[in-house]
Amino acid sequence: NSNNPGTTAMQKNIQSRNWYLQDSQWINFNDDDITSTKNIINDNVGR
Amino acid sequence: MSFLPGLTEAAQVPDIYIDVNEAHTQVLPIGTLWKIRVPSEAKMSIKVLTGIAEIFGTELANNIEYNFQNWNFTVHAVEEVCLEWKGTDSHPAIEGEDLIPNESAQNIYNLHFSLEKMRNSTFDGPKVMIIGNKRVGKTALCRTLCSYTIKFKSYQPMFINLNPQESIFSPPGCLSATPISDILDVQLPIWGESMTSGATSLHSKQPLLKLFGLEIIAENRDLYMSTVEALSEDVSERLHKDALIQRSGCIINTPPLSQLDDDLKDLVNIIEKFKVNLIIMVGDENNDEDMAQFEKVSQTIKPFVGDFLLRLPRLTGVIESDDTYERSLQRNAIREYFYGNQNTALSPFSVSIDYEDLIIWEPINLLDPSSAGADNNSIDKLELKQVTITPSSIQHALICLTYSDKHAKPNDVRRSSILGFALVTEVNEKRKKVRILIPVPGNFPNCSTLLTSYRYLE
Ligand SMILES: Nc1ncnc2c1ncn2[C@@H]1O[C@H](COP(=O)(O)OP(=O)(O)OP(=O)(O)O)[C@@H](O)[C@H]1O
Ligand SMILES: [Mg+2]
Repeated sequence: NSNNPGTTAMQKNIQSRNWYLQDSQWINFNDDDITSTKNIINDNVGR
Repeated sequence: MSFLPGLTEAAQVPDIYIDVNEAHTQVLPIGTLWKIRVPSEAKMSIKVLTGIAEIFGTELANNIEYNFQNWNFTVHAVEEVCLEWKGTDSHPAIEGEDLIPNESAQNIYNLHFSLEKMRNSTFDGPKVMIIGNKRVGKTALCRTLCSYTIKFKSYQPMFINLNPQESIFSPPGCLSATPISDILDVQLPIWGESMTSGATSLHSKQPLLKLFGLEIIAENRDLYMSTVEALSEDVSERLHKDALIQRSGCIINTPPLSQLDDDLKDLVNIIEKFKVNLIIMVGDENNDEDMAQFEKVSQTIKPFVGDFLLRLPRLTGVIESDDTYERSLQRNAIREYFYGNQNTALSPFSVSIDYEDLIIWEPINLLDPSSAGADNNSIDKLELKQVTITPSSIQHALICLTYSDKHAKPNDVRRSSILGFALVTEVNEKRKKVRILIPVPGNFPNCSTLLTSYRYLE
């Protein structure tokens, strides 16, 4: 979680469910970007 | 904030060998169905040694062990299959119905190939909706069609779930749309994982959810239809932007017809909203109730789909079950959202929050006389009421977090995107504090939330 430095170390080892995309992000999402699930990080928590 | 001791236990890999199970060998003759019931306290694993076996249309790899828990499913032998299984139950197969010829297989193939033809001949793929009475195999048919669509060509069909009691890629209480861009997980009743922060054993999916929140559609039909409508609008935009999904088309799962309104106005509305151009009604010729239903549906929707209403007999694979089983699937889906499963263990996060910092809204439940506004006919049925926080109102509740601000107006909360779900684990009336489980580590998001009818006890 790039927005919350305190949790970065934890997230490297511990996996959790992502927040869902906002509707508008989902509409523009391309499923081909889910190629390597290893690289997906929570970047939609900017709240 | 810390991880509570014991919270991750449920997600730890259950050791199937604890009960030291012997390996049994089973041969499935070509074209048969092996019907399996794995109750919640039991476990079972299957390894295909030779031959092609499918579970809801998804092929099992040879020599890989698949694990199952709390699920009724069938293995279809595309060719003769020899498999090895282990389990805590020495007779997982359903008595009297085991290893029967899969009479639905040809029908499903034929249906799949006619959808394939439509995809090949136009850029605007089929939008097929499966309807029928309760437990006739609607969801099984949708799942199989989705699997076949991605099996032979690189299509990406959009799967749409309009039955809020079923949890597919999501906790219960939601309607959803999910592009099926890769293989489904044969081990999971929820079809597969939604996105996580790390690697999952199989490609995860990116669903769009809209919250209905109540259990039964009749509790608030207006709310259900407005949720359907909101979903259809976003789906139509996504199709517009994504040529591959548009060409692949939509596969739409529906609640049992008995749950829709009697004059089928809702059904017609759904057909129009999703621009449905093919309807498959699952029901038996020799079942009077099914045929009466089919006649009624035919007459009502002819003007909208013309000849594109077909009937398919009840699926041979259907396994009798009851509400207890359905509830256990809902419970599992909630647990899975927070804790993951045996292949992907997830670590949720427990936070404490003051009463005053937690804003919860709830929909009107017209069948519940105690629900605020339920007795008032002149009221706007889509209106949300603010929940007064007490142990009895929210204890163990599944709540939905939204993208709208804590101080947002209820109408904006209702239309807001869904951020995720949280679970109330403890309500402390004395200290006016609530302990809540959230999926993602960090602070409790500064957002408005919605109460669902679902409760979950660890
Ligand atoms: N190959 C199969 N075909 C049909 N049903 C199957 C098959 N294998 C297992 N089943 C089981 O049969 C039961 C009924 O099937 P399904 O859930 O698809 O019916 P449904 O019409 O969607 O029911 P509902 O109206 O409750 O949504 C389920 O428990 C399902 O797991
Ligand atoms: Mg169903």
